[in-house]
Amino acid sequence: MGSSNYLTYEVKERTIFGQSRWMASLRLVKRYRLCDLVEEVAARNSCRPAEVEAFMVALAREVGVQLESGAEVNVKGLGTFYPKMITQMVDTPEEATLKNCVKSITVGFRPEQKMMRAVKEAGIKEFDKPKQTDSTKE
Amino acid sequence: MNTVIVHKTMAVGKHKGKRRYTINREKSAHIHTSVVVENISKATTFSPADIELLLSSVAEVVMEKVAAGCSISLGEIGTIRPTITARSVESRNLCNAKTITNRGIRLIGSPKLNRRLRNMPLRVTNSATRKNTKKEDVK
Repeated sequence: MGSSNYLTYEVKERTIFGQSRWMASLRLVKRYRLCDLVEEVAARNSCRPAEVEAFMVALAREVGVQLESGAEVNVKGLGTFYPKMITQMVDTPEEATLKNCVKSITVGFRPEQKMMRAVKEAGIKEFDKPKQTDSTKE
Repeated sequence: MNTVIVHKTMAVGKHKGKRRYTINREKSAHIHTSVVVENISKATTFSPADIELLLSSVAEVVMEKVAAGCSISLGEIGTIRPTITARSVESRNLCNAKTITNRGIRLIGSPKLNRRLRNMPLRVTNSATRKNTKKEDVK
């Protein structure tokens, strides 16, 4: 049974170590904003978009609060959010201070297996650039 | 957030064979969905059953859109999008779907959340170093 979902890739030329090479690069089909997500969820649940938006705001606030305390948060259906530190290494333990080693902190994400499986089982196709039509007539 | 100093013997690169040090996040609490649902229920007028229903609906929509090659914004949490890893090839004709080696999902945190996390107070809990055990370190 084939998947009706497809990931689209585009072939791009890149310079790698001074050499010109070609590689496949993912092309996003559409960028869904929060309002689009809210509308779709509201339509599926027969509830008002304002309620769904309030829920998303509350969810984001709760995840943010837990991440700020250093905890990992599991959200069923989506995955696990955790605070991710971007660090660098030093030569001695005396130099290993927060100022020297921690470059940045961001949010990490481990998706649920079901979501990963959906992406891995999706079809793949190349993006067809629209052909330029010749509008000149004799 | 609590952090610990860890060390690792480098296996490759210009520091090969040398022991180097860095700071890692300490093992922390793992908050389950039920706690998230309870806290959201307390903060809003939604019942826990409503929250679970909305959560499963959001997850379903996100999964469908990401598998269809779209990126989707979760508001102040960030944006989830699919990713692919591919090999590079010498000519355009050789580049096709078979060069794609892996697929994944990535979250790009929202600027507001990233700013909150950057301003988060950090604390080093141990001055003694701990070995960052990985397969290459175990002989």
